[in-house]
Formats: sequence, structure tokens, C-alpha cells
Amino acid sequence: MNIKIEKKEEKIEKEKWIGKKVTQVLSKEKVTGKIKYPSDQYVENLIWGKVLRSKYPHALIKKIDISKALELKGVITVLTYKDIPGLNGFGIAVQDQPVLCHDKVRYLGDAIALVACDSKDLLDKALELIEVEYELLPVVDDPLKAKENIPTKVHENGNIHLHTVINKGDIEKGFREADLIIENEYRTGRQEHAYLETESGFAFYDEEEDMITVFCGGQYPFRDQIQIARVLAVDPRKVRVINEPMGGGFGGKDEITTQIHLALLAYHTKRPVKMEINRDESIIFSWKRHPMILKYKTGVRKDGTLVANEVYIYADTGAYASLGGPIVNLSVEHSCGPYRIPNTHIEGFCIYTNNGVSGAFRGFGVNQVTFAMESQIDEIADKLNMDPVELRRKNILEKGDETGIGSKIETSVGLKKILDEIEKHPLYKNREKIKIDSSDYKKFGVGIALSYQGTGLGVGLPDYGSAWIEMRRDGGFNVYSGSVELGQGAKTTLKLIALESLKLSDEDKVFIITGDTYLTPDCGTTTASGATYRSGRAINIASQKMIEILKKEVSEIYKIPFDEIKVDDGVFKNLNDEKIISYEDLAEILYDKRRLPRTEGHFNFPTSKTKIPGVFGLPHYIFSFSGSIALVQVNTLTGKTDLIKAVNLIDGGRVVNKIGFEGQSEGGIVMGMGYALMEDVLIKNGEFLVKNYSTYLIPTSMDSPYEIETIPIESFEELGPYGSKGIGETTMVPIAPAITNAIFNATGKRVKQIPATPERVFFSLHPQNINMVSDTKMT
Amino acid sequence: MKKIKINFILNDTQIIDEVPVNITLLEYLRDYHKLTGTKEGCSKGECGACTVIINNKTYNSCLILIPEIDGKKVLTIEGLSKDDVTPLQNSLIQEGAFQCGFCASGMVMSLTDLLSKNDSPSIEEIRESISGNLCRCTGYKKIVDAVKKISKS
Amino acid sequence: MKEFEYYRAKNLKEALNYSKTFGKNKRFLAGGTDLIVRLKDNLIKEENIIDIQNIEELKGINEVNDEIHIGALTTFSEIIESDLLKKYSPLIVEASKKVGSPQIRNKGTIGGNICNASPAGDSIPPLFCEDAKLFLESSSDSRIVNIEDFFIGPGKTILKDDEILVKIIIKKWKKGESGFFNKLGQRNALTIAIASSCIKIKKSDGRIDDIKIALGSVSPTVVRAKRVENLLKNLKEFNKDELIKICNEVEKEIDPITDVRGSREYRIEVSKYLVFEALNNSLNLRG
Repeated sequence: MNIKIEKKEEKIEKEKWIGKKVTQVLSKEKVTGKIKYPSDQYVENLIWGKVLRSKYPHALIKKIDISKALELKGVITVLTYKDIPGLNGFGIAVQDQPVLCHDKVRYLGDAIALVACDSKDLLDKALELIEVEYELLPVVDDPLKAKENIPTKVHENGNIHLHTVINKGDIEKGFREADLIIENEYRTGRQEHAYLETESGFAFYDEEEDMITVFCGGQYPFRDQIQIARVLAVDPRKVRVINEPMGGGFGGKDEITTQIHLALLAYHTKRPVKMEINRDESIIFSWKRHPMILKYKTGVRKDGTLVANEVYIYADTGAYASLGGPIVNLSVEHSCGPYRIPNTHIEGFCIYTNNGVSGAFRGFGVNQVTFAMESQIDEIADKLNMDPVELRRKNILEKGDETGIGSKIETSVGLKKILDEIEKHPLYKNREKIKIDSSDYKKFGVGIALSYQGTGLGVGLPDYGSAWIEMRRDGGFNVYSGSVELGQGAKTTLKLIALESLKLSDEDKVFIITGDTYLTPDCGTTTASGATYRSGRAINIASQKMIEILKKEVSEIYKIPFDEIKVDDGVFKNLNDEKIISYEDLAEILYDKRRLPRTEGHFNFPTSKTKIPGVFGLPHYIFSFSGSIALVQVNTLTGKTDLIKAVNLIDGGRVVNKIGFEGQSEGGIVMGMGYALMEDVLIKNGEFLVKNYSTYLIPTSMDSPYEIETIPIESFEELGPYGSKGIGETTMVPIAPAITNAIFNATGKRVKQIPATPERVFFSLHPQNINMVSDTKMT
Repeated sequence: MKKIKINFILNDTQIIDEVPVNITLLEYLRDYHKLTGTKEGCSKGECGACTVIINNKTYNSCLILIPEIDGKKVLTIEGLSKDDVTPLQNSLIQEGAFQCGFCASGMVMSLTDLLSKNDSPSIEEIRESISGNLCRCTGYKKIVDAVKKISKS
Repeated sequence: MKEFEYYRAKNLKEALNYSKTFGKNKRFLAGGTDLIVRLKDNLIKEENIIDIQNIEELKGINEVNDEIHIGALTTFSEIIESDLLKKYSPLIVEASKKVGSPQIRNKGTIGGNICNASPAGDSIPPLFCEDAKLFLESSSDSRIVNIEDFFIGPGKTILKDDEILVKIIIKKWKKGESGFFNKLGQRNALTIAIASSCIKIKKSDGRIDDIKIALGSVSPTVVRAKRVENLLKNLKEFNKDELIKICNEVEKEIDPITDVRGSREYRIEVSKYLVFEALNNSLNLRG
């Protein structure tokens, strides 16, 4: 063990790039507005496309008449289900969502027809001219009712898309052993990704190559490619997908958004086509975080030892499956928190309704259960009169322990260190003092929460990374990875790994190419916080091969034994540290010989040895861990809560890209704060009450705390590139329960439904319809 | 559609054009001039991605009808970045202030306007100046820090 | 965006002529922060848009004896920066700071805010507290109306089809006057009020000589809480229990709706607390 640690430190000392603050790739292009997103494409002969979406949340389609629209001058084409050459369906897990609906619509975002016009102004007029006859069906809008055997079915096979049950130990025995049992129902909101750039895109047909290129924000270009090719019934190689740059993803662009519609229009018109998705349309058709109803019953001994946890998860997945199944399974896997609980019974339901569609979103089902579980833990600490850190310390997972679903943790765990840091932190240490600073009706409170997040896709789902590296004539390297820069900093992180692995000293020697099916290898999907891990490892492997080849060349040219050649700062040296040749000069020689090398790196994401029969996407093998401390101020007169200070403590393994790491953490805190306090796409009877940024509110600069601190807890992950794991998701998960726990700390009342809007907090403080009470204090 | 003559200054260039009255300045900049640095995020004045400076004040270009622009002086991110990056832009790069970058143009315009009127803004003043510019990736903190770094005080 | 005819009025006379010509079938474009959104949403049925932004007669903040005259086209940014208003009518300045965002405040006008007649219009509650007068002009006539009489319902006013709001007239603050504006939103910027309250108090010898309370977003129009005002005026001693009792009366003065921002029940309850908070802040009393 000791030897390992020494080795690790030695490794870290020699590293030039890992953990350094460097200029983020493309940042100059971003601040000058020069970067071109999909919506920024303008070309000659451009036509404009738009989708006719359903008028009703649930209906049969009786007739679609496009004749009047086709007659309108300027309309180039109108497409319906009849114009789909291949499969009329898409979906990552199951292709249950029609590209263009034929006989039934299941939510307001369902697409029925596509129009293309030579002018943007005509689009709405053309859509109005399409006549659709509907026969209305009852709207399924309550997941709990939908789950029962009601006659109205969103899909033929019923309203339950997935039902996962996991038992561990003996739940009844567990509760018998408990001295205290806490039972609660929690509810969570329907969070919208609200990426600043909607799903707009651009496509064109290249006659010479007989190829359709689709340029649209996405998170897995190779899967988009297959989904498009399947619909067009063409060879996937005839479809090129470029996913970046894009204005934010957060999981919301993992599934198909506009890509297939763009491809269909380009396929039929053979002209360059652009689709601009406006915000209202985006909110209606795009995926959301699953709203969940969570029933928790937790048993604990007097001394704080958790003994039993019974969990029921009801997730509203909306009209189509997308990733609802894997998401609910991830909820199930993480439902007991990062704690050792010997006896569990966990059931997860993924339920179809006509409430929009739910899908992947940063955290992937972990946010909801973490809010519930961390609220349970906080309540237990309160009831047992135990310090919240102490209670957690008693129960946290360590390497070798079993998670709530009974899979063994075999990789690094930074939880203990996170708790130590929380305990030491002034915000936590002084929490009682801070409370005294409250005015009579503006109450301060401090809350904490822990979380863990499986990295990668889990057992049963293909998950791999690959990379190509080629040496250029100038001694630099082109590095190709199929991962996508969503804005999370993947390009910079991968560049740093390449610079380090290729032992370079000049930042400009590496050029990263990502997110394009035509240029890069398939590198799996950029989700599950795994881009650094999977692509980083692949780049690392390809780099080692590259260096080996280069050393062989040097060995041959200079007749020096292979083992006596070292590489440092882009220079080959002998054992006496004398320069043999630089990369630049070697590249010239190799270029003359037409021997500039190209290498590949392939890496299968490690998965857990535990298999749970019949369940896919769990368990995970690598986990990131995080903790948050929140200081809130609650105005008890109005219920309005402000996050004043926030601390994130993140074990994502070694930090590769320091600025990117902090950026993800700060953004995660603010997005998590929005989730906790204000964000919810309200849907009633399948109709959207919230349609755009004026009613869907995300935090502004005036809501976000300026005082955000990010503390890296760098556990060294042996398998990760340079000891790193992944952080994209875990940075946003624990802050929401830390905030609601802080509200409890401030007011003595617990909010069991997020977002904790002013109204919800107000009514938790002042029971409904009761006049102001006389103990209201004055300053 | 009825057209109207407009005559205004766009990034130091005089523009004389005849355009339909029912388009916004944002559409005009992007669709007619390919000035795509100015972004559409919501088209309802709620996100600030389309912020431009007109006669030394910031506006959401999605909430301005093109006829309104007659006789005015419009500065977009392209005009601002014509030569090299400004000290503000440089500081934003150094701090790693942006992630996806889609809000960046609008933020830069709002902050440029702030700094033109106040060369030593407080943290509160900086936060206030970008309260009409939504960012979904960052926590706004690094943006504020980047301005603070070049603030005179 | 919907198609329309666009006219640019150079002066008030021209605007009034357009007004007369088009009657109901026109909309004035002042700041446009609301109008353009509605044009995009296809909510405007009128076919003629009359741009009044260049009309000098509708601009400026002027001191006229003991009054301040605010031109209808004055933007919220101009209000916030106005030394005259900061000195003589700080409530309007405070409320203007809460409007939208810097970009919206640079464009949106106080006249537009009034004529939109939204119960959530941020600038309206302070104008109620100031007993503001509105100067309305048509091509043949002019009249002055009390702001309280101007609104009929959400989006509805007594403004005639050929009339235009020219300016807003308020009395300068006198010694002993103070006030408090309180906007409750779901977030701290770029937000529409769930409820708002504005209070203006004139005190002497520890007694309330005069008090005006206006409430926003809790009725079809902004409303005055006159019953509560009277109870407060007659109050001999400000003890906490008495104040709370009076604040509970707010319920009888409002008639809110339920929407995405908040329920009717919440608006009723929270309005009491908003008035309480405002009194608390204005009276500086110990309970």
C-alpha cells in the first residue's frame, strides 16, 4: 500500500499538464462571437424547415391533408410519415417514438409533418395550411393512476415501461431491528435543461459523395448517424453527423432532437436546409428530468446505524421511453445513497403518461433519489440528536462495502475525506453562530448532503472509448476522439491528457478533433460523466503506442538501444540526459520516408462483476463522490429562499483540467440550486403551463451566490487516466438536498417537494388559510 | 410585406437598406448580414444572448423592430472584436469564464457597456449588469471574477 | 412575426392624427418590450403599429412647482438615474430598479407599463401611493385622471381610442414622508411579481398622519388597501399584535388569481406579510 502511494506521488510530480490551469480550447472564438454553432450556418440556396407538432396531448390521427400547404408559393416540400423510406421510429433504448406520427399522437411535442420553404417567413403560414383531423383520447397525466390498470394506455403494451425490484437482506428483519423508522413521501420537479442554444441545426446533401451531412448539437454522433440511417434506409456511411460546437447539452441532446428531421428534408429536397427551433417549441418537445414520486421508509438504530431502507420510485417518463429505463435503474442503484444498509427493498417504476417526454439529464435519476435519501438522513440526525456529519460517517461506504443494491464497491472512495473536509469547514463548524445572525424573520441555516454517481453506463450497455493519434510533419499531433465538446470542457481536458501522454511541453503541439463521424473514431456517448475517463484512457493508450513507435524509429536511426531512449518535453534523450533529436526534427525525417505514424487506442469501460439478472445499466464499477454545504437565508414572511454561500467537495479522482473542474462545479451548484428552488415545467392535462424563459425560470446572476467554493478531494483512481474519474454530473447532485436541509436548519420545517418555491416554503411555515399569527416577530 | 427604408450605422459602417417592417434587429443582423455572433436564445427578451449596444446602451436585439433602428448607431460583438480582443475579452479567456460559449457574446456586450461607464465596478454592480444575461453552464462566478480582475480599483 | 403597417410619428400631433385615423385598429410602440413579444406570439389583432419613440413631447422628467412631470416615454433606466426622482419620489425609483433586466429597463417606458395595465406592472403601485395624475390628450381634447381611475381590469384602461398618455404628474415628497416598495418574485431579477406591495407614510410625533398602501399582482388591477390604511391611521399605539390584526384585513381588499407563479391562497396570505414587512420597515418600531 505504501509503495503505491509513493509511486503515485512520484508520478504526480513529473506531470507537466495534469491539474494545470490552461486556456480553454476555443475560448477566444467564444468571447469574440466567431465560433459557429449549428444555428449560425448560412449558405447559398438555403431553405428553411419547421415541424408541425401535435395540437393535442393524446389523440388518434384520422387524416392528414397537406394539399393546401403544397399549393402555397414558396413551399418546397411537405413531408409526412408516408415520406419516410425506412423505420418511422427513434429512441436510444427502444425506437418507440415516431419520426412523423401516422395514427396517434402521445404528447404536444409529437411531430406530424415537416415543411420546407425558401423563406423563413412562410413557415408558419405553411404549417397553418396543413389540415389534421384528430380523435381525442383521454389524457393520462397522473403517473400513479397510469400505473394502475386503467383503460387508457399511452402505448399498446400498457403504461409501465419498466419495473425493477431489488431485495437485499431481510427488510422485515431490518425494520424489527430499528429503533427509529422514518417514513416520508417526496416529490421532485420536471427540470428543463435550458441550454442557451436550442436544438437548431443544419443539413445538406453532397451529390458527388452521395452523402447527407447533419450539423446539430448532439452527444453521440455515431448513434445519431445510425438513428438517421435507419430512418432513411441508407448505409450509415452515407450520413455524416457533426455535433459540435453546441450551446450546451447536459444530457438533453443525447437523444435525437432535430437531426432526423433535418436529414429527411435534405434527403427529399437535396438542398441545404436549416431548422431554427424557438424556445417555446424547444420546451414543449424536448426531454426533461423525470419528475418522481419517492416513498421512503428508513430504519435506524439508536446509535445511528442504518439497518433498513424501503424505497418506491415512481417516475413520469412522459410519452416515450428514450432513456427512461436506464434512468430509473440508476435511481434504483443510487436510491440508498452512499451508505451501507444491510436490508433493502427497492422498486422503481418508469411510467408512460402524456406529460411531455422525460429523458437524460445531468445526474440521470440520481438527483431525485439523493434529494429524498439525504432528507431522510437529515431527519434521522435531527430525531436522534446526532451531528449530521457523525451520522453519515457511521454509515458511509468504504472500498469493499456493498451498495444498497448489493454490488461491491471495488474502486476508490473519497467519502471519508469529504466528510472530514465538511467537518473542518468554517461554514459547517460555525453553523450555530451563523444562525444567530438571523434577523427576526430572515433566518439563516446551513445544510449538508452527500452523493455518489456511477461513472459510465453500467453493466449490460456497450461502453468503450477509442482515439486515433497521428504525428504531423511539424512534430505536432492530431488527436481524434469521438467524444463531444458540449461546453463541459472535454476538448481542453482531452488536450491536457494528450499533452501529458505524448510528453510535450508546447501547448500548441496538440490539435484535438472531436464530435464528427467523418473524422473521428466511435467513442461511445458523451454522457454519464465518462468522457474524461473513456476518451482520456483511449488517448493515453494511443499515446503510449505512438511514443513506442517513435522510440523505435529513433533507435533505428541512431543505433541506440530502445531501452536507453527517454522522452521529455518533446525531445528524445539518452540515459545521460543528452538530446538525441526533437519531435520536430524526427517528424521531418519520418515525413521524408513517408512514415509519419498513426496509432489507435481502445478502451473498454470497466464494469462491475456483479450482475443483476434482468436488469441493465447497473451496477456501476467506478463512482465519483461529492458533498455540498449550503448556507441559505429564508424570508419567513414570504417563504423566499436565497442561497448565500455554497461549497462543493468533489472526489472525481485527480483533477485534469483545473479551470474546467471549477467551472463544472460552479455551474453544477447553480443548476442544482435552480432545481432546488425554482425550476419546474408545470404540465396540467398534458398541456404546458410553462412554455418559455418568462415562465421557466433559471437562476440569474442575482440569484446565484458569488461565494462558491470548490474543494477537490483527489482520490487517485488507478484505472482512470492520470487517476481521474469524472465530475460532470456529481457536481450538481448534492446541492439540492443541502439547500433543503439548510431550509430545515433555518426554519425547523422540512420541504418534501422541490422546487422549494416561496409558496411551498411559506405554507410549510404558515399552515394554509390561517391568519398571521401573533408570534410573528418584528425587528 | 411592406418594406421600409433604413439608414443607420452598423459597426462603423453606414447601412442603407430597404427591409420588411416586421423583422427584428436580431433577425436582420443574422439573416441579412450573417453577423452570427449575436445569438438567439429565447427571442422574448428573457435571456440576453442577443444583447447589442445601441447609442451607448444595451438592448435585447430580439425586442427591436428593424424600423426603430433608423438613425441609430449599433455595435455588435463583431464590431467590438474587429481588431483584437479587448482587455475584458482577454480576462474572460484567462479566467475560463465561459463553457459552451453561447451566452458569451451577449455577456461581453453587457460587460463592455458596464466598463464604459464604470471602470471600477463592485462585485454587486458586475452581477447587476449581467442580470439580464442568462448562462446555464457556469455559476456566473468566473465571469464576475474576470471583470473584477481588470477593474481599476 | 405577424404582418402589420408601420408608421413613425414625428410629433404628438402626428401621433394623435394616426390615433384618430385608426381608432381601435392600432397599437402604439413605446418601448415595445411587451408589444413585440405579443406580436411574435400572434396576440395582437390590430394592424397598425404607430412608433411614438421619437416624440420629444413625451419625454423628459421636469420639476414644475411642487410637482414632477414624467414624460410617458421615460425609460426605467432614465427614472433610476434621475436626480429629481431620487430626491422627490424615491419609491418610483426603487420600483423601476426591479423591472426586468438592464436591457429591458433601457427600453421599457413608464407610459408603456401603465398603458399595458398589467396588475403586475412594477411601476404602478408606487404611482398609486403617490396619487399620480395622468395627462391624456386627444386631437381635440385633453384631460387629467387619477391613476386609480385609469384601470378597469387586466389590460383594460379608460384610455379612449384617440387618446394618448402624455405624462405622469406626481407631487414632490414632503418632509416626514417615507415609504417602502416590496416585490416578491420567484427569483431576484428578470421576474414578474407574484405579489408586490408599496407603502408611503407621513408621520409626525410618532403618529401616522397619512398612509397609502398599494398592492400589485393580487387583483385584476393594482389596488389600494384603503380599509387597512384607515385602520392604521386611527391607530393610537403601534404594538405588534394590533399591526398583525390590521394586516390580516388585507385579505378583504384583494381578489387574486392562481397562475404559474402562485396560487390565489398564497397570494392572499403573503400579501398580509408583505404589508407587514413594509410597515415593519417604514415604522422602525419594536414589537
